[in-house]
Amino acid sequence: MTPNPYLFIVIFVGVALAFPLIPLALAWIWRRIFQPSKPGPDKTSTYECGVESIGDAQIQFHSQYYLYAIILLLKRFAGGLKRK
Amino acid sequence: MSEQIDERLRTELQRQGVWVTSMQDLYNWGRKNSIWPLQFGLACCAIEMIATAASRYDIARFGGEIFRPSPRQADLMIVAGTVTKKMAPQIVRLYNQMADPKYVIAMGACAISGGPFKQGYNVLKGIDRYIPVDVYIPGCPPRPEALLHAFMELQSKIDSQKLTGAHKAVHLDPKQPSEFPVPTFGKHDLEPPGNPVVFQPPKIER
Ligand code: SF4
Repeated sequence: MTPNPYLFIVIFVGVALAFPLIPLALAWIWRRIFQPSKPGPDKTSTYECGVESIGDAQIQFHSQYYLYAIILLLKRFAGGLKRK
Repeated sequence: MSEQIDERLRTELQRQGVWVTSMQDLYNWGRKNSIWPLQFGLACCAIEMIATAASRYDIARFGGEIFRPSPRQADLMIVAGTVTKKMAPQIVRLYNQMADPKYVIAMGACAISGGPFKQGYNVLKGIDRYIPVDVYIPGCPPRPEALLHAFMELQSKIDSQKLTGAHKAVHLDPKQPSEFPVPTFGKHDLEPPGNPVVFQPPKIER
């Protein structure tokens, strides 16, 4: 009797879930037993270059910038085509 | 809970072909052989750090070649060079952003004390005023061998850290801080000029 061809998918899904979940679970257990987490305002900040971020991340670019983006894209494309 | 293995018993067992380990040894063995430094250099000492990472001196032999550009992924901060007062808040903030456990090597006379620029108005007189330093390397600049030696010293320090008990490692102790106050630019100097929690210079009595 041949096994159901979809069985492989089920196995793959199981493996794909186990791979990330087992290390995460081990890390969680380790944290509970040994290493307390110590979050802080610097440690949990978004930006990580050492300089404090200023203002809001949700800014809007000026629509004129769109033209530059298109030109840049075109140049990159043309450069790529020329090299071929 | 006694997780310590008697050394003589262990050697005796190894002679019989039985290898035993403890959680603490396994944990420290893994940590000490995969120290990832934070990738930044401040002045001339950084050139020596680059030489250490390149093929001739080859820090990869010690598992420390993976220089990370993000503090979130780094275990070790090598302060290689002159820390100006303009730069000091950024260094402290980067240290704060590193994940525990984290270690610091102060490389060169500048990082230890200000070095040749100690009398200057704009140079911090040692990074240990703000963050705890694990290994100091004297020299101007220290040779790559000296950095490797500091790396080995750090490895032996990591190896000797305890997992449990009263003398457990700093990062395992919930009462020990993981972030240190970032100094701000004052009128004449950084404020505060030092963090009294980590910086306790000996008093000179005349
Ligand atoms: S200790 Fe010497 S070599 Fe190192 S950064 Fe300072 S001046 Fe340059």
